[in-house]
Amino acid sequence: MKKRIAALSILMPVAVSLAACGGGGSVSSAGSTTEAEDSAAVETAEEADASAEEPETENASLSGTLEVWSSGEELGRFVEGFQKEYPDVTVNITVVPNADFIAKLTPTLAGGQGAPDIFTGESDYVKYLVESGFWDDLQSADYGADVSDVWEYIVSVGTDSNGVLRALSWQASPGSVMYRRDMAREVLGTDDPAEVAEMLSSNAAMLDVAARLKEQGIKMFASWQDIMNMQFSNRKEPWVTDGKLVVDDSLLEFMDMAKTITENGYDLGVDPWAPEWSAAVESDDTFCYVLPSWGYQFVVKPAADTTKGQWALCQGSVPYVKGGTWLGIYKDSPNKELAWAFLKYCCLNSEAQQAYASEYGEYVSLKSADEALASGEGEEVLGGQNPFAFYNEQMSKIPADLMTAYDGTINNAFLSATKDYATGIKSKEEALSSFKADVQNAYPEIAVD
Amino acid sequence: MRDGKKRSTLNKSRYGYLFIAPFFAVFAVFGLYPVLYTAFLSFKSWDGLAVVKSAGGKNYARLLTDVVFYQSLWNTFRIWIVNFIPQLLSALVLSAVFTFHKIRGKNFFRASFYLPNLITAASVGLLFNLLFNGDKSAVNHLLVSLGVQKAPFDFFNSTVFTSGLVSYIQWWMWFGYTTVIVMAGITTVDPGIYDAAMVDGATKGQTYRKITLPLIRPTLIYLTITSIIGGMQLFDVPATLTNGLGDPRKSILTTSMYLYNQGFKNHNYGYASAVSAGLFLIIMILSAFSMKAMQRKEEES
Amino acid sequence: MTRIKSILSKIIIYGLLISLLFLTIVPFYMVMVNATHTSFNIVTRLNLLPGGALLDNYETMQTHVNIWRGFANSLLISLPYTVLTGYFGALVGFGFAKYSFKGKRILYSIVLASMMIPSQVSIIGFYQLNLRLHLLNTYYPFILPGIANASAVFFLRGIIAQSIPDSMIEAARIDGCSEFMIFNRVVFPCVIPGVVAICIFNFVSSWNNYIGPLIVMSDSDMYTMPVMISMIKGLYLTNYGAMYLAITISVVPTIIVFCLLSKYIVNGLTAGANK
Repeated sequence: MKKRIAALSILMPVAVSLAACGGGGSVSSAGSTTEAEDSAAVETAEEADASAEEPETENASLSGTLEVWSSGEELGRFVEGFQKEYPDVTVNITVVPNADFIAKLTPTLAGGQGAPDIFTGESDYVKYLVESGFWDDLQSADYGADVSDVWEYIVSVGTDSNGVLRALSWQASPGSVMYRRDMAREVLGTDDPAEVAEMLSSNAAMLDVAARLKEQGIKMFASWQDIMNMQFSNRKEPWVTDGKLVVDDSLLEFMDMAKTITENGYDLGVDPWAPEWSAAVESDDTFCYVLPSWGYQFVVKPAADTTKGQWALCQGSVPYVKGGTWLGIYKDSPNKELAWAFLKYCCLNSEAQQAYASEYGEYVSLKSADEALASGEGEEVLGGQNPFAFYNEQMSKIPADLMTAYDGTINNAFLSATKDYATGIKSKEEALSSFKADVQNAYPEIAVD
Repeated sequence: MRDGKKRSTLNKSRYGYLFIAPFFAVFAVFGLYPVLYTAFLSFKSWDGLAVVKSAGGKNYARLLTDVVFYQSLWNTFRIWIVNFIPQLLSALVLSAVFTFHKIRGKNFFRASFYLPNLITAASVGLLFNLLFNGDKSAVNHLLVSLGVQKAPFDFFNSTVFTSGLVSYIQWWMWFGYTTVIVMAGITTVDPGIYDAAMVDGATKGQTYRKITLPLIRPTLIYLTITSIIGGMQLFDVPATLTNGLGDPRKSILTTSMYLYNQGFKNHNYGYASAVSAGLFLIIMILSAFSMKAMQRKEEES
Repeated sequence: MTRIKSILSKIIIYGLLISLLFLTIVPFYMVMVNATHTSFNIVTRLNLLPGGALLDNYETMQTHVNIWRGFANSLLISLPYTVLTGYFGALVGFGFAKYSFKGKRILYSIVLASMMIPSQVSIIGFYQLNLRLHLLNTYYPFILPGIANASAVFFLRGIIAQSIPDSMIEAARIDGCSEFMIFNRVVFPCVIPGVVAICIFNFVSSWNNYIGPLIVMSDSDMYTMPVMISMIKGLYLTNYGAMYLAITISVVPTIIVFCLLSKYIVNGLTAGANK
């Protein structure tokens, strides 16, 4: 049954979009037929359940209709469980195509009417929303969010520059190198994640391995652009510090790494999400993807068929996180109580997250939920490795949050410039100066040297 | 007699107002406000969410010296002209063929030529991306196996190719439409004129060039002007063909893409509005210029 | 000799037509064929023959969006819009073509200029407008502007000025027709081929209208076809097969409308001949 095979976001052949990554998203576990979540209004299918389970009195008092805008379908998966606890609440989820989420949101917020009670924000622009003040303070007296169980990174991204918590997430997206066990055994002599990680512990080490793989006719990476996911966390400073553009040394090093990979043919030479890139899951000549947890869910797992059991996750040169979708409550929502109940259910309810994660396989934002799942069985695709256990360890090591409101645009500009350098069209200086010009053009208020 | 005629024209002129009134009524309701709002924003500094701040003429001052804006205008114009000339020529040839020759399956051909215009432009960009993206893409596969190309070609890293491809796609999408419009224009020509020409011994080709073309000049003006307007606002195909930033190296960054990105990606709505105004002005100038040129020709003939 | 020449010209003409046919049909054919393949097949090879995944693709598509709903919604917008465009385009065009009145040049320039406004940023104002008019979550903002379609006015004004002689209108007046009747009974029937041509074009552009409906509709039950296609595209678990199927389905009505209406253009030709 290959019907669910490819996890391709199409937004994107449209290249550089790894920056757009983010998203939670749908997970299609091999046989599970996702119930027809019409993505349309999810109606309350409560009758039967309501009588079967006795709702707590506190919950039963809540009723009404909650409007939710989401840039993906996955949020809708919480609705069924939510309505078991809150049978009188109807949740209307409107899925807005991710590429145009801001185009829909901006006029609505600016117009002051017609905005939803809750809406999502993907990593590319979440900081922009967090700083805007359109999301309520989740630790104010109305809500009083207790975030002690949430991974620090999630909280940090959801907190604005004044230290006010504006958004939380139901997911987290720690990074990994997803590699082929069979090829690792053949070329590296081991497929053990710890031992392979040892061999990939720096960028130089990764290039050494790439050279060894190439001798056997294997391309190490699907696309060098994937590595940007990881390099992002390798920086010491964010793109913009004190109103100034900072090109971290690690990124300059990364440009050379991209050039080495391109010149030596260590990757497929295509952009992420191109057909060839996606098809590499089932190839016999591509060693790894450098993608965070969602990459396993959307790219590797759904497509692995003959390579089932031949995949494993390990750490690359640095631990990292990339992407994610946050959730906040609209400041003028007339249904704040309902909105808070829903947000709490998705982002702060460990049992709900465990149920969700075990059904859809997504790595979630609460430590307790991820820890509970880490003791479970491993994944068949990963040859028995438990991804939760692996990612928990990564989460404990990730560096501070370096996200800014400018990331979406700056990342794309940097990738374009790096590509020009890697393919030999521009010198490093030319590529950097056109990158800086692009940043200046997009954000005149940023000081660029 | 003379007086009578004059009065009748005067009387009737109010019908002129009456008949054009629906357009202006509906335009005033649905069209005007968004335009005025954009004009208002062009004097502001606004990130889409925070309070709108006054910017005076700053956005326009920046526009005048913005090299990316000029580059995007040139890209847009180049993509347009490279597709429009072949488009008009192929439409004229095809409509001549359809008008003067008994073509078997004429309707079928014409309908098929119109087909590309029916798919959403955004899907078209995507489709062509799939055809050319990567070493193993359909086209590379074909070129290599036919021996045309020794090694696969990185199409989307070539500015000339990518820009040419956008023009080709535009031609592909629009030549059928243009043919249909030219033919619709031709059907309004009184066939009696042709008979007269035939009697005079003119060949089909001469009749087409000397009689049909001048008579359908309003249609040709229409096609040119609407093509300039549509072409200068080109957005969907180049936005979906590569990464939406006009890669490679901004070669297919059109002005509409630029202003969309300035607004919805970089959150400079004030500046995006100024770019809109600049683009509007350029389109007006280009249209007025070509309309003048074509009408002068009309008067000459 | 002439015979050889005529055969030669036939060969050239048909050769030209068939190669153009090839260019236009092939990408289309690929979309349709891909609608019957698994995503894996689509990304790994060039498919020339239909595959067996049509039903699976259909199921996948339906779990994400209710495509037939989008289909019906789009029809609800596009059909009335197209009718308004054709009729009012001709009416306003007639007003500009056959009457002289003060300020005509200026007013006509406004009509033309209204086409030249880049639409991207004005959607912000467009949303606010519809908010104030209480037209959010309705289809009126996409139907009524058919009355103010500048390109239809522009096109039909030219056709009317060209093909309707003033003597024809005078004759009708002498017969006692009111001005409005002259338009309905005399002018409009004569320019039907032109009206049809502009209607086809506007049906297609209305059918493909994406950003406007996306911003004005906040109820997924009211989403139009292009919005739904974009939703399938934007999902992280995207199925190429399902997407191609959705595109195929979205193209069908425009093809039908085109085939039905394109006959009118041909008939218009003969009607013109009898005139």
